[in-house]
Amino acid sequence: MEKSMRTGWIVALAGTGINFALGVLYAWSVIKNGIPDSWGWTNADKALPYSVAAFCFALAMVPAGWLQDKIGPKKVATMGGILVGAGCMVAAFSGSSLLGFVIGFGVMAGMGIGFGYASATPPAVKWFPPEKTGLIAGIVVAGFGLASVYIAPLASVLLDAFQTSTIGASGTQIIEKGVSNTMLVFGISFLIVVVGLSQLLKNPPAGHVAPSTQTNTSATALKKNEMTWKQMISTGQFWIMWLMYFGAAGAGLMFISVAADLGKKSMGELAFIAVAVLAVGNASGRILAGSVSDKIGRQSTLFIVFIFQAIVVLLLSFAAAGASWGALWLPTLLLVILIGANYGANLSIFPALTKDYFGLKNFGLNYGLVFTSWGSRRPCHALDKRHR
Amino acid sequence: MPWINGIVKDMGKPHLAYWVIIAVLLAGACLTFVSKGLANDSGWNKVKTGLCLNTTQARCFFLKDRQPCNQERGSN
Repeated sequence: MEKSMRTGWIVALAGTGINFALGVLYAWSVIKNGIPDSWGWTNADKALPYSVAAFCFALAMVPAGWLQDKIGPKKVATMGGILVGAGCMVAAFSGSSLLGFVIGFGVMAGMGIGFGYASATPPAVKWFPPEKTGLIAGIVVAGFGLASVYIAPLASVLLDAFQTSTIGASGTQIIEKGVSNTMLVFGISFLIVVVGLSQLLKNPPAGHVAPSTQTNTSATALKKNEMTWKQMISTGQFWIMWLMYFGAAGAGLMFISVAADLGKKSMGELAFIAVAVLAVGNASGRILAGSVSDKIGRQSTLFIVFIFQAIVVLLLSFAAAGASWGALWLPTLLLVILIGANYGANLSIFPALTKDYFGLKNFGLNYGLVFTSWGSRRPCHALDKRHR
Repeated sequence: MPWINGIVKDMGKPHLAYWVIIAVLLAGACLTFVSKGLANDSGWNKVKTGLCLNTTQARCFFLKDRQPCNQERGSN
């Protein structure tokens, strides 16, 4: 039993590590600022690879989840690592071609992130008893939330390290950031890291029963259901979950960008601290909410998260309307951490809820379908950008 | 949902966007109660079955104690 738990923790931490690397998605916010004027990209062009990547990430969760259920997490996560690595390398060798970046970073890396993300959580939760589902799901997905702490500064350092200086026709010095080399370093690094950690992912043997410390917690009280995706989408439960996830994730993501602006307003040059605090809040919200949901139930935790998020949005509206405390760093940081935590909470509660309601057998595909609600806000986001 | 902000901004009332989001979040909080009601026994399916097969029993599901009603339906 002890050996089984040890293996479970190895699988969970490998999943966290994979998600930590897959946060390469967040590097784009820094990389796009390094794209030289000589490439002739508009602001909309610069946003395109990221938008395509986020869309492909959410879309890939469905086939990746299905594959994960069929052939196991190791192979699917390995495919994810190869796709992410190869995608970044395609972008690196595309020169200034927007199409190359869209195909490389957008389609290939985006799908790779989906393949990796879809394979990290299911094997980890299978090793542990139901009363730890929320905690384990939270720990695994926390890696993705925490990634922006290191990935953005790392991208910035690499862009500077590889920058080149040339003399233009008019004799002025032109400095260009090293976008292509940065993508190449990311491609090689994440290929090695994700493929390496993927080898540690494995499902427990058939018939494995995780040692449970409690006989009837709120998390274990649910009737055992092993639903196929067709059975799942015919339940009202699925659609209510989808709507809740869509609303919560949409609101969270919207205010994450507001939080970054708020940080710039109140902290000026130190706005990067707000970004780091946001990531820490995001990651800790995933672990905390997952853990709390194991104790008091998923719905009760979700209810608290929704109400808390509504209060935070109300406070944000006061700050945006010019409340004097909106320009102070401490209240700003508190708001930022709460925004991150509320958003992150959804990403651990919903996978745990999916497992509780629809079972583990088809968990990969089922959660992939639930996760489409997260991806569905992408077209809305694009519409929003057009309105701005 | 972020598009709400853009639309509301176009209407010249940026503050309204926050209230729309708050309303969405409160609606989400209410949905957790609905979700809770469906948690253990897929009551949603029972309602659907009741509505499709037997409106009397569906009415029974809503108006009377659910347990005896479910037992009756089980015999159909």
